[in-house]
Amino acid sequence: MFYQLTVPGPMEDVEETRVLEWHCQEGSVVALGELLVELETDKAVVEIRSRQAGVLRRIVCQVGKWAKIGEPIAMISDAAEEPVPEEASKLPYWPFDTWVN
Amino acid sequence: MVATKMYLGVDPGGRYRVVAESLIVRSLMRGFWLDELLAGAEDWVRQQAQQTLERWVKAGLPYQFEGGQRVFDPTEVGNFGLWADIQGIDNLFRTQAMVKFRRMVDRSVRPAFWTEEPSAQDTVRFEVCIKREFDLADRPGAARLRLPCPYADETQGDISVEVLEPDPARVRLVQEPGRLEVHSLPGPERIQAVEVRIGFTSRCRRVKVDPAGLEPWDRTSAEYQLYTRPSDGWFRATEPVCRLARSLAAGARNAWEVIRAFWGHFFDKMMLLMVHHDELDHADILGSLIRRGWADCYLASALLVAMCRAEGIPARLIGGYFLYDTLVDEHYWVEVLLPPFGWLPLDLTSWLLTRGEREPVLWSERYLGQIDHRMKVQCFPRTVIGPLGGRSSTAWVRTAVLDGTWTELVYTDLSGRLLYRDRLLVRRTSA
Repeated sequence: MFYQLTVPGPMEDVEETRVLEWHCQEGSVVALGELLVELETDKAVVEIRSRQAGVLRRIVCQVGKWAKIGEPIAMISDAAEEPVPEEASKLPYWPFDTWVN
Repeated sequence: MVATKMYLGVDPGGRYRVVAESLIVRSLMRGFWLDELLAGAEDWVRQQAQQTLERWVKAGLPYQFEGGQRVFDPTEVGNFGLWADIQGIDNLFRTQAMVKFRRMVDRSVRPAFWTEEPSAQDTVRFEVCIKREFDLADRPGAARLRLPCPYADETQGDISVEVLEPDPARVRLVQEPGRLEVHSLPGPERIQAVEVRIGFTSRCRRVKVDPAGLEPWDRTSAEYQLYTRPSDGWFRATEPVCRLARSLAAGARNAWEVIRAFWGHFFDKMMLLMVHHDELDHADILGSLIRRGWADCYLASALLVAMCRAEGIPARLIGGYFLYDTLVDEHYWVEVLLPPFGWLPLDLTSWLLTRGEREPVLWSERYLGQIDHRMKVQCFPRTVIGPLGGRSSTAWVRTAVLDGTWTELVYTDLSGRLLYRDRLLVRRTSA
């Protein structure tokens, strides 16, 4: 099954975030609790950690690009073999935890 | 702007009165006798600053005692100097700060720049040294430590950045438009320093805006959409902001007249120097600025941006540094897009050049559509430094002093703990 990884929200006074660094590559296995990506606002860096295991299949929002709250930034699947869908925004949400630095 | 009773733009209670008298005196020395200080007359300048502080205390400048010593709020001190001058109580602001500021502005570009028209240009190469110290006591792991760097645009380019500290071979560096990020190594040091030497070429130009020559914006462009959006993080064109913008713009025949009406509002109704950011109404920061009547360059510029956007004029907040021959400091101003003239600067520093008076126009409109050399490092909302990497606090005090030829800007929380310290040195490497 495929999922979309989205920009978390709501965050106070934040409408969009910038992808600061991806810590996983496309095709890599994601472990429970693993740091997937760091997003930044003008006041904080937000860590996104996976709440379950899967495979990062496609990065939709590259480093340096901006995405609004709730917009997809990546597609993750349970298994590596499933074909990647065209669009991320209609997929169910990938569970994650956030940590604000 | 004429104030009647003493209101210094801060809340009662005095919780910001935490800075020792000796440091306040050093701040006054830099603020009012910078030329004399650089000329080596330190003892005389210290005497002048101390006498000034005593005079202001007698005239009502608030302070408190802590451990038997007087402590002050730097914002109250600075705003008191301005307020007392406008009230006719003490003319030091006008006779020292304002006059010297004007001289610096005159010296900052070649002599004919401000009188030539149209389209005068001035190009200078600068070397800027920045040493920033971070307090990492609360961050035992690795941290992203950030310093400002210029970004390239039509006003600045040929940028070089040399990392002097730490050893660049030992750390990961990420240089992006507007910032350098150093990934610090985890370690026991509470204070970590990053020092860079930046080279860049500044090109400033004068533009004579002919309202008859204004062209319409492409309202479908991504640029127009981005820089007219009514909400940009914490600053929003709320109902009070839109109402004010609408009332000021009524009767204006074009965007330039709208901008001039907004510009005049700051002179007629606002006091511009310093404020405590955490005392503003967080639900409507800009609305509370309008009510309170005091702002600093950051907030006043944000208000001007929001007012422009409320009237459909693309505007953006710019963060950077003054690069005058004696004064180096952080600063914020505005750019507005007026085709075919392009992005034009609006810098409310003009307010300080006349203490908020509209006359003489030569000074009150000095930075209306044109500025001198600056180092631009932030262009909100997309080119930003973001979190600096060390400690942060919603309540902070800033002191600015001169240490030799270096400018030292120190930010602490209200307990006196360091947030970060910047040391700045600027020189022109070509005229």
